[in-house]
Amino acid sequence: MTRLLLRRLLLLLPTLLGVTLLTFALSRAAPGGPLAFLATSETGRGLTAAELAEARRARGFDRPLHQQYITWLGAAARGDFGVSEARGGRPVAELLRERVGTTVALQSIAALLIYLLGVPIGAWCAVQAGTRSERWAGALLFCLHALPAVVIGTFLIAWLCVGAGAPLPLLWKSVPTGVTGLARLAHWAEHAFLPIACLVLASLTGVARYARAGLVETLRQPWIRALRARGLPERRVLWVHALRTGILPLVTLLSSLFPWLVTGSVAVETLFSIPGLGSFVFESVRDRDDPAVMANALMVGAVTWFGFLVSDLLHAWLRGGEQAP
Amino acid sequence: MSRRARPAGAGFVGVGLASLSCLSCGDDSDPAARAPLAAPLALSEVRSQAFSPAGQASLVRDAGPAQAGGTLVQAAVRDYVTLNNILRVSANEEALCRMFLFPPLLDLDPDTIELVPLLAAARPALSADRRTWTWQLRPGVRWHRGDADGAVEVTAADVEFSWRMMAHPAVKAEKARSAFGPVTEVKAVDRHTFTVTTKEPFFRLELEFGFNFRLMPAHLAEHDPEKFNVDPLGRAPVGYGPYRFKEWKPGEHLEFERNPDWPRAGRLPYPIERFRIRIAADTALWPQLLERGELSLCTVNDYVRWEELKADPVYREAATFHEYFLPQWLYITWNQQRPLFADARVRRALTHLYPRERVKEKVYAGHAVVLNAPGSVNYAAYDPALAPLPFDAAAAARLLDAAGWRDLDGDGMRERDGVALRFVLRHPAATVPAVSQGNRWFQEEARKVGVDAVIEPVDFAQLQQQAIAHDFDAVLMSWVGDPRDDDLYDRFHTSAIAEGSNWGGYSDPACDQMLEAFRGEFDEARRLEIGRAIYRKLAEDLPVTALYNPQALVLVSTKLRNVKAHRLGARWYDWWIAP
Repeated sequence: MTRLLLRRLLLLLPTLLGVTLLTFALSRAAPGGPLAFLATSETGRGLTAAELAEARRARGFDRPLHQQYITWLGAAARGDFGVSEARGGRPVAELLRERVGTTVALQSIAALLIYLLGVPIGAWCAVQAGTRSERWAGALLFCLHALPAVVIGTFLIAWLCVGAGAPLPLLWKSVPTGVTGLARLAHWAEHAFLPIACLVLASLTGVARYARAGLVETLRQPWIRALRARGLPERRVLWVHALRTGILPLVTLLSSLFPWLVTGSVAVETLFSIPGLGSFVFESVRDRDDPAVMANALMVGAVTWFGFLVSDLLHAWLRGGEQAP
Repeated sequence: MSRRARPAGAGFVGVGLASLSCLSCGDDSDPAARAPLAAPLALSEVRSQAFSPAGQASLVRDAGPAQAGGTLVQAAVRDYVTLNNILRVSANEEALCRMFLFPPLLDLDPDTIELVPLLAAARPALSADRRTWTWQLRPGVRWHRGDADGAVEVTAADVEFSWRMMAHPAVKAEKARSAFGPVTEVKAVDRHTFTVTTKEPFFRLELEFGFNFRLMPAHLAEHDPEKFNVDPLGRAPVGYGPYRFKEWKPGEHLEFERNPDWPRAGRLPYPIERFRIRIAADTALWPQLLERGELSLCTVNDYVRWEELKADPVYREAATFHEYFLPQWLYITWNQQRPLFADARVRRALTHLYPRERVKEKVYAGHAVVLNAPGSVNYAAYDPALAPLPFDAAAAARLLDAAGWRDLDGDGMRERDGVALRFVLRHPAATVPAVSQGNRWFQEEARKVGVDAVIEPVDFAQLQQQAIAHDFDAVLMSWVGDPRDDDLYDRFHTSAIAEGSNWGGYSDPACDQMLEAFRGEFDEARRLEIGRAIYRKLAEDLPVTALYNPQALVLVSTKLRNVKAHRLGARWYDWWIAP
């Protein structure tokens, strides 16, 4: 377990280097160049070509690309992600701190619910495999999977927020100062319900299908038949013995669920006007805000790495110390 | 007043709000931005928002006696970046600052569009040589926050300090500086008097300075230019206007409350106690938010949906509907530095091929006017009797034939001297249906007469750089003007080719002469005549093809009362909220 942890930690550095290098190259290769938005009269400062060139020079964008990247890397290692010109020169690190709490809270609850709902649904499908009701359930899950989160959100809004008797709030609102205790929890839950429902519904199918696939295979194994022959209750066979083996694919899925949630939150947070990391990713790309784009890429890379780490550790634990490759 | 190009379509949304609300201010930009709101949210340049009584269909509820109190809520698409009055950039920020926190020296009367003093005690006096303007500040106006000794008055020292910051090259105030090119000096004379000197006589100085000069509190703001760029006052502004800053929840909302120091009586009573700007990125949700009582007013960008809302009993009960023209329009610039477009016959032919009436009817559902020249239908100089060129493929073919562009090889496409008649029409990637659909129809019609028009969406920032560098064939953008004199010098004078917005490279000595005469003419009647002549000249030469002046469509909650339509639209400084 310790060796696995060390190995994964050693992989972190090259992973993040690769992510940032690729993002850096893409951002520099994009048409317009760094700070191009400053030349617009719409959201920029209406800089002339000469002023834009000077602004780029002042921020080192005229230096060779490798020097720019190394400089950024050195600063990022110290926690300095530069400033966001698209946001009045505020430090990117400060902007990230401002938004991270909301997104982590929403995504943690969403991830938990995805597993709490997806595994039982998958188990039910496995037990019912081949029946008409299972096929209907599969079709429904497939439809959910085919719908982007933003479409699901739009449906939920139309269903739960519009018209008489639809009291759910349309937009996010953080808990006002002074509201504490249960009232605080109720306020948060009321405003978080739709975004979390969106994230859960959009991701549920993956977990349910993985769970079904793993359990269907496991339930066909001879040792499961042996357990049944020994008279173990079906519930115990399924939830205790089969699930322990069949859940392994779900653990693998965890590694991709984290980054998926981050990217999924881009649409959901934008739809519900939630000031989180997802909407920050969207805004920074929209504004060609290079320092923010780089910081966001680094963050998504780190989250992805963390997902892999958790997945590997769980794998090892479930296999009783056997290490993942 | 500043005017500017914008990505086609981006702006129409918000402006409406603003204008409705404020009318004289202009906003702009992002749809969202313009928070409708309030008071004169004037959005920036748009002060133009001229409101056309003929074009408006509003249902105004019984007003009754005004009642103070309540909270007005409007939406914005994106969060604000800074409310530092000198560093602010977007139209929404401009509207907020100008209307509520830092009212300008002069305002526009929403009915007469005459300049009226606001922070200034009177309109400025002009020296005999017409280069020096003397301004008097209204005494007794105090900053929302004073210093250790108590309240602090807005004085000429603040003006001088603000000018110093605006003019300093290290201060990121390029946009603020751009309006004051002719100004050489701003100098405090006494506590309430200051002078503004220009290089040469410039009739718009009063308007430009009166409307666009930006004040910051000298007693609180950083005096070091570098520190000024990151002054915390940008996130917690201290102004002197009718509303003062209360709270800013990043990404969620901004809230303001009435400034008790601001005189409630008179032309600007401001009965509403608080106003909030809610960040709501999805404009499609705005009408629903209004119907639920979470917004007080909002613009609607979808013209077809607007008609549906008007027929919906729920919305007819929840809102009043307002339709009016703002001074913003769509147009195509032809690059006359390219041989193809140097020939006016080609420009005329392509104008004949653009199906503007079809777009007006099918995309705008009739909520637009097809233009004959690059200006708003609300401008006094705009001549509605001058009919826009109609769609006429046969006339276009004849003009192209006459220009030497013929199908010589029988492939259905025209060529001349071995060069095919082909060009690229670029437009901002994020745009409105009128642009994308209109361009598709134009492409089809052009192909039928042997013209290969390639349509290319481009990121707006990149497109603007290409336009400035004259690196394009044709480009479609939108423009926001101001409601009074629209000075076309920067867009069509020869000198503006190298440094200005004359991206198409139009150069005509007669037009140059008229543009210069317009700028130097202080008599309004004579200036109007010159303005009309300029429009006629542009309608004839077609350096650009003006497309449409769309209407702004605004929903206002029926809880708001006294929602009046002025010539410049509705301003909410005299609206009130029914309990």
